[in-house]
Amino acid sequence: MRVFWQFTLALLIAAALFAWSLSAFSTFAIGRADVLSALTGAGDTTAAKIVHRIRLPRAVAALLIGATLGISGLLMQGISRNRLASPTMLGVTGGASLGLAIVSSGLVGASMPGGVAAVIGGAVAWSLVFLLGTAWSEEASRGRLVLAGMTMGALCAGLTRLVVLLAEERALGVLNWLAGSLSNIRWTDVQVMGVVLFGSFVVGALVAPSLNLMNLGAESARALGVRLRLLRLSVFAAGCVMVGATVAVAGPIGFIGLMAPNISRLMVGSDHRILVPMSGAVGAIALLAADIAARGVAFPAETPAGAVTALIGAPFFLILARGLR
Amino acid sequence: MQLNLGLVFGLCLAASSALADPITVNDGTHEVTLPDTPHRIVALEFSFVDALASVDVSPVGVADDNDPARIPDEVRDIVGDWTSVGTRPQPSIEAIAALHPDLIIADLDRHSAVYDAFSAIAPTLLLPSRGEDYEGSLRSAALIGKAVDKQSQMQARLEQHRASMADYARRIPDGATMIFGAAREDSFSLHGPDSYDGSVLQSLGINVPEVRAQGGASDFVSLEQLLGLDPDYLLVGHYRRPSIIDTWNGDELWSILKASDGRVISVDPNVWARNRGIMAAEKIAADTLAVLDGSFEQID
Repeated sequence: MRVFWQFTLALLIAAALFAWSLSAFSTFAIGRADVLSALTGAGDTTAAKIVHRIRLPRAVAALLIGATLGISGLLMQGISRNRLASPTMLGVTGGASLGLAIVSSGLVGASMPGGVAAVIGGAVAWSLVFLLGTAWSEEASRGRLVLAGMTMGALCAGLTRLVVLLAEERALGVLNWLAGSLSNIRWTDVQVMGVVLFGSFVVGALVAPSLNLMNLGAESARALGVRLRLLRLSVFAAGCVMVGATVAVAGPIGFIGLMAPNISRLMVGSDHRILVPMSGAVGAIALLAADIAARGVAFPAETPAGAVTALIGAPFFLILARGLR
Repeated sequence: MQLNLGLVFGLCLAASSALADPITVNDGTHEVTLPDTPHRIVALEFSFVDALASVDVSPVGVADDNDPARIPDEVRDIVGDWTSVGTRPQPSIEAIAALHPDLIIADLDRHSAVYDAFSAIAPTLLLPSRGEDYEGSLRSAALIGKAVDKQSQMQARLEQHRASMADYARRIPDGATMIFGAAREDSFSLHGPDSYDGSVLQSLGINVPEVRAQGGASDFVSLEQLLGLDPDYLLVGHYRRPSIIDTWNGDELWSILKASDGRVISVDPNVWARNRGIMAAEKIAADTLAVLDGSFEQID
């Protein structure tokens, strides 16, 4: 019953933020009537059109991307049995950004969709981090994995900067994008993220019972019938697609994948069957709130939402790391 | 021995009379003394090449982003060929040293951190270029004129420039709002009234809308904010096609923009964004006049 109320609360907060984000910080006077007519798609005032074509997809995308990041972080923490694991901490976000930067800079001849490059980049970085961090071994320390992830993240960031410098012409644009921004979301992006988030829920629901057993330790989970290799492979593949999609749509947005599962754990305990939807909900709320704040900081100019999540996320990480010691 | 000393003294006297007087320039952060008129000059921003060309001086090295075509034809026709010393944000110190320059002109914004490395190679002027406005760029040009010992020629050129800009301003009708923005495929940054091209436009009597109070030289905006500013003319420098403007162009919201009925003009980003200086300002003025009287030929 307590869980029910917590989900209701999350839903109410998300709804309130959603409504606010449709009218907050605008050079146009966006009234309630404009928002309502935009939601039904019937409005023909300028304000209603702006809400329908720009603000609505942006707000929906923030929820979808935030939820995807929250769930991806939860799954990563589940299989590595490490609460500091997250797309950013494991270098996946950095790898995905590097992949996308290489392709979009035009430095390599190969042309492929940005999303594919992001998924490949994330997969390579994540594999290297798990190899360096000996994540599969039972004795592996938490610190070693996070250290490997942060090293990989720094390496990817350095290489991305190099790519940006080599392609100086477009450096400013890439730098803006590299901070993670939702300012140019289209309805097509929303469709992509909707599919990805749906897939995330499905994978999350499928692996949740196994992740619960992983709480007992990898060997115990294996003894209880968990097929470890399959579990790790499916989380790895799903995680790369989830993070790659968010990076391709909005750029790297850090710390949501770290914060959402940990906050959810404080709220609903350690049952992954409940943690999957709750991490999604918390992630969605966090990113939507961050995007509203990002629009307000230097209004009317745009600032990247990724900068806001980093501002809140970095101290959160420090507190978490201290608490786990 | 005494004979030798006398010989040396005599030689020195002869040498010094053959040399020009040392030139001293204060660039605002350093007092730079040049022992002689510099002939091997390395310029690390496009506006400095513009200033040198304005007094018929050719630099031996330019940080041209490895693409000489970024500097306008008018400037290249005057200064001829140079050796590239790399990109403006990351010029190669080795390549600069290899040219044995006797003057380096570096950008206050980009190169302050490596000033010591430059000044170990040659006397270095640190002048504002990136993020500088129109009047500031003319001040830099005047200092460059002094440094290359062509102060009076530069003054004459500046006076001629002001006269020609005043002539443009007379022919350009007052009151139109116009703003330039640089478009990449995923972002659009508007150059407000404090930017270089924004301040040139304002000097011509054009209204340049402010993107935000205390804004920087350029600000990233979304389509919504662009619609909010709604300038009469939107000038776009496409760094890559299709750019975000091409994407927005297909949106039904685009028609809300006043300028969407043929007054969204694509201009040369090399002229409007990358180059600053005397000739760049004159090109911007000529472009502006052509845009307003409808004779401007858009670039693809």
